[in-house]
Amino acid sequence: MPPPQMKVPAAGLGIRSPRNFAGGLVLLAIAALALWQIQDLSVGTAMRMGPGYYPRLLAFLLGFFGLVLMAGSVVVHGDGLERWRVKNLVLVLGAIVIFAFAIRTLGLVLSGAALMLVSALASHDLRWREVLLFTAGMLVFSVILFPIALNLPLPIWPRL
Amino acid sequence: MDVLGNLAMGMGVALTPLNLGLCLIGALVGTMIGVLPGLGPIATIAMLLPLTFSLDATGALIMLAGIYYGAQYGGSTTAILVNMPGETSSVVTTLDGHQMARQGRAGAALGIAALGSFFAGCVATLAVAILGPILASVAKEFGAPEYFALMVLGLVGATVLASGSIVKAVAMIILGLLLGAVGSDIETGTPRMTFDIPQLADGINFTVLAIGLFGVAEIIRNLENPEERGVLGAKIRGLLPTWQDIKTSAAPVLRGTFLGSVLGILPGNGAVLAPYASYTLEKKIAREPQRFGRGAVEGVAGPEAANNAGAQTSFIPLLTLGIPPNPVMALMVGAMTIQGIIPGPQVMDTNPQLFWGMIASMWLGNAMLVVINLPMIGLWVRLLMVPYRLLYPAILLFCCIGVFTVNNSYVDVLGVAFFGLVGYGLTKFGFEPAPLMLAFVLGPLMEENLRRSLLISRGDPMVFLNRPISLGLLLVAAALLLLVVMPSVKKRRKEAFQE
Repeated sequence: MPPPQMKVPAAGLGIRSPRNFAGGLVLLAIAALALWQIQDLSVGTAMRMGPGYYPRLLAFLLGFFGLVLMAGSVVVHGDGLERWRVKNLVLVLGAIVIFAFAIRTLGLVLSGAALMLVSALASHDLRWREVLLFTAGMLVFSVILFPIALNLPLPIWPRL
Repeated sequence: MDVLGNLAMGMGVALTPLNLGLCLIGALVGTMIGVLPGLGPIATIAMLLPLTFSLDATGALIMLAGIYYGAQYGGSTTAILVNMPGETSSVVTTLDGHQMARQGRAGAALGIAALGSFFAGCVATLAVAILGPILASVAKEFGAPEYFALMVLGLVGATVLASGSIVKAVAMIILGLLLGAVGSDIETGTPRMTFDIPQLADGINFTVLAIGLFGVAEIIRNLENPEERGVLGAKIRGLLPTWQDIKTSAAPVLRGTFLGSVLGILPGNGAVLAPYASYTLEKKIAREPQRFGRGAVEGVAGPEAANNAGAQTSFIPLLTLGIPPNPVMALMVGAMTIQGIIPGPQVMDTNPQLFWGMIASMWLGNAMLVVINLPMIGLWVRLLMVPYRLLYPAILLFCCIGVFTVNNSYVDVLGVAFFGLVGYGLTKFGFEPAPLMLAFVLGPLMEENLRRSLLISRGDPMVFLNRPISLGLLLVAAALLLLVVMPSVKKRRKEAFQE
């Protein structure tokens, strides 16, 4: 089942395909960001390209296609914007970020537990007993597999 | 004959107990992860990459190839039993495979899929062994302009095969090329688009991008749809297809193998097309086309054979030209680079043990899949019954451990979160991430060859049109683009992707 589509506030502006309009805007924004990052790099000539030649070419092309999408969205009817499930997004990405910052100092067991438990909150039917047992099992398994059996350099416990 | 001698040498490499074991473990683990719904081969390989870090190059590639076949086969198993394809290439298998499962013939469907795939794998392995050296010798004549033209063709192919809007697919290709340009400039070493983050000096790590776009984003998307899975596990009886099934399937398997082998060689992910092409063909020439979609065994046998043959022959462009035809092969490039091997026509000469060992292990891997999978179906079924609410935190854990261990860098793990967000956002605006990934890997190669071509020609872009091979490749690319833009094809393409 596709997530519900938002009723389009942009309809008043004559935009017939809000999803493409927004997508085009995103492309334009990325192109602008890239151009800003490479503004100081020398372009050179086609024969002797500077570091800025190729990325600038791509950024302009990307911006161009962004404009094409936006132009098309005024003419052709298309999909509305899809709703973002911010809660799931924050929980899952947040869990990964916690793991990233914790892994070197807190070790695999604690940061892994944090990752699994925080991300599990995004589930629509959460059963704590089951989640705790399963997390414990997976952590034992990954401790045995990665640092021990495969000898990968992962700290297991917090470094004090 | 030379091919046989080389294959024998390859067998010698692949049959050492260590490599045999690696192939077996790869196929097993690949199937195990591939069976999980919503995890395609790309995410599976990216996740399991760390398993190969401590191995030598040959062992690592043999294991990765095993993981790839395993993941493919696992995807088919899920398609048949749960009607939930893990990837685009097993969508077709759900049509008749799941219907067969509903009629209590899951065993026969799985058996035919395995046997058909095995046969296709054998033929395709031979094709790789015969065509590989020929193409590699052609590729040695290639200069920078030819390589550039070939990559253009590959990217155009990827656009054509992407579902949805062409404009959006092209935009994703350009975005991928742009992401590939992040990092130090190849000639001057000047940092480009690194946002002053020192860890980006070497560019964006491809495992980070792959796991973010295909692993994490997929999980967040899956969480939006409440789970509805009916596993048809209890009904699996005899795994062997009846004699009648085999007789009906023989011809479709042969046709599927041929289609898959040819499409797999094409640059630009032709392998994805193979199962669709095979299904359409079988339906068209069937005496009772109305049986299709209601559990026709031909509808499983042909596409599965085509799928596997295509998976196999898509190694050809990678091994002979060094150009990955699809995101999975792009991951293989990454794995080879980690091992210090630059894929290309020279690998066959400088590293024949690796080249032929890998080809031999392709065949062994296929044989193992038949041997291990049929008896282990019960285990896969039980794995399929683990609810998603438990699976996804575990998948996240393995993804994060995998990414962290590549460079021991926490910034890489942060990158996964970032590209998870990007991937989720892109799909919300109707962009497909697969062409992006391919362009990302080809990007640096393209820039290098573009710069080199224009240096040779003193800045004259006609260099791409003056040389016959590069002109030919560009003409094919232009023809492909024209074909898709034509309204009649546009309509048919839409239908094909809807089916």
